[in-house]
Amino acid sequence: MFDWLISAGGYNTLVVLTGTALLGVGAGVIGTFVLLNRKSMVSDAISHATLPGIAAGFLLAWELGIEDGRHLPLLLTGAALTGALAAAAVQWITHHTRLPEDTAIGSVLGFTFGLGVVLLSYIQTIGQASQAGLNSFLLGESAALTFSESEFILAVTAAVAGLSVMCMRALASVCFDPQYTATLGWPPRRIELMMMGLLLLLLCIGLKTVGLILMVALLIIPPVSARMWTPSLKGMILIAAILGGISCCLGVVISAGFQRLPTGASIVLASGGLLLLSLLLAPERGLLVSWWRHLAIKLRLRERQLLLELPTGRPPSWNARVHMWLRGWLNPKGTLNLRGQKAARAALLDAICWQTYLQNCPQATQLLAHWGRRSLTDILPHDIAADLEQRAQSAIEKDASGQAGPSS
Amino acid sequence: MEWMVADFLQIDLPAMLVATLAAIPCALLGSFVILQRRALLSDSLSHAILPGIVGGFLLTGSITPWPMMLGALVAALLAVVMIEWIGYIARVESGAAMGVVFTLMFAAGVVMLEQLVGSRVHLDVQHALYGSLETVVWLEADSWNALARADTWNQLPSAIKTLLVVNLAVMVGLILLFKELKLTSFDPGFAASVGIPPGSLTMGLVALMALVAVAAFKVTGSILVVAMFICPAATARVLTNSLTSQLSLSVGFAVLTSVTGYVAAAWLPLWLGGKHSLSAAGMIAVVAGLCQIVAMLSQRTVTSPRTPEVSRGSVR
Repeated sequence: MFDWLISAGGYNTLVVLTGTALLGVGAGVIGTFVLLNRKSMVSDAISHATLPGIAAGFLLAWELGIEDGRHLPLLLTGAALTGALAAAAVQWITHHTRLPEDTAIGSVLGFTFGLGVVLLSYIQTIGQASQAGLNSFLLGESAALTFSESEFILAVTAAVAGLSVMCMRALASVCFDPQYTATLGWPPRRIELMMMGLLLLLLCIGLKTVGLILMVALLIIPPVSARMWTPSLKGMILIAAILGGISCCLGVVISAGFQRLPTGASIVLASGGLLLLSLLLAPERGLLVSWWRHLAIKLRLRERQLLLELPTGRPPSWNARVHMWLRGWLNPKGTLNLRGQKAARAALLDAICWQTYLQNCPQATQLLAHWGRRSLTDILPHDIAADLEQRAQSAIEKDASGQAGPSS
Repeated sequence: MEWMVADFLQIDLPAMLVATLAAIPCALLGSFVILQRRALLSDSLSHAILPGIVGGFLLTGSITPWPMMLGALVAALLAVVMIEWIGYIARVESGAAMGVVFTLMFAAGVVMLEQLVGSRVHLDVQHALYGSLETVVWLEADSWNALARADTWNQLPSAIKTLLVVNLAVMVGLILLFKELKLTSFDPGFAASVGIPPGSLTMGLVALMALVAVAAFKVTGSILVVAMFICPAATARVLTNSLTSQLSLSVGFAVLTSVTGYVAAAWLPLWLGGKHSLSAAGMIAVVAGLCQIVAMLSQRTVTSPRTPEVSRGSVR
């Protein structure tokens, strides 16, 4: 694996891989808080709003004559500035006009991106070949990542991840209960501001690798996947960071292996694959587990029903026969064997227990959740269960002798 | 002077027509979308239709509008179902679910575009993002007299024809569903209780939005459609409390911004002494945003102390 990588992309690929993996880790950490604070779509507006900043930074650098205009620090400063302005604008619109947050996000996103497109078209008219470099900010181009840029990413990501883990309690309390945060003496608005600042920092360094349109995916998808696996905050941060890192690595490797595959898109698709796995496989909440649980309940209910229908003398359906055969309750001749009879007796006993209990204690409605799924004697305290069972047993015997009497 | 007229009729008029015709249904649907607090749905849809468009193209091998539209429709409905589904399974807010779905679908669209089509046709990522209003030309309309001939009208650019049909479809759809949409927008609980199925109504709205988004896609690009959906409708929302004036105002702003935006992009730089025009689609979004900013600022100073309760927060 490693040899193949080195031979395929060489040293450069390794550098890129480390840089983007760290980016994924940082995005997973801060993205978790952003998700819990219900600000995921605000980050979409912010990342779109970096475009005019990048273009303005380019124009400024070009006027000043620095490096053809492609002076990365200046471009990223511009991006951070307009991104911060966009975040502030969303806040302002939500609090000071009648427009709700989603409308605010949409209009800020459309306006700022339009501004960026206009500026880009202006840059095109001043005849700059290097404008092609700006387009890579849209969909990402990690192949161009240099060693110093990777180091830069490493430093920023470490700072972002470290700060958010250090301030985990404050950030978490703002996400879950801002009023409680205030009673602790922490300023909720300032903490939220810090969260947005960290987010902005990470967005900006991710722009060149993943691109501004899909950067938001790296912030949302790993935390949503992590949400499937665990209900605890620490676990979620850890898993989101790991998933983010893995999806970035996978994305870079895949895009290095194919022609014309933008890194940003392949990273997003890789994280989508991990999300799909999480949706399917997660314990407790995963689809497979819940399907299995559902199926188990369904089978249990059906089995109980068919066992209770046996004494009526109606010939069992084909489905029921297969079911009983699978459970090993049938003789070769097709009649119930000893184990089958035992199961049928147990089911009848349980049904009568339930009936008696619910007749005598109709207020015990909370037990109804288990009705038909669990044996009543498993749920009730031992003494009551034993008493009930005895009564049911005698009822069955009385019934049997009553039926046997006239017919003989 | 004669040359100027031909230029205007061949290049500027069709571009303005396309922009206006794209903006009107956007504004109409946008009004309802904003009232239902689903503004972000337009953002998600405009991204999510990309794989559908590319898929439609791949199946037929030509850039005729209808297969693309069908593909986009399928993609949009799929996106909405997936948003609901992921929000339900992972138990996250709808915003995050939208973020997951639209970025994934957009990424898939980009990969399809780059891998399968990119090299052969002029359907590329830049166009998908920025739009290309400037490519719509009406060569036959070379003078005022030409406009009087039926022949000229037969050669109307296909983008305009498509948009006319889409306009018609949206108007008919809105007229038919007006009562239901109105009820659901203002009182979803009551609407559901009188038997209006909220799910299928949303799906209908989504289908119309997808139709408009894909028709506008070629000229405005997938992201600037968001500005067309939201900004004029939001501007109207700030200024009025009645639904009919909301609709008419938003259409008014849509027409105003698309014409002004085009003028500002195509002619303003030349008047200011530049040599080239700027991106018209981007400029339209900017003008729409500026309109909204002016409306918000004026509204805030004039009526914010007595903003009625109805206007904020009681919709849901």
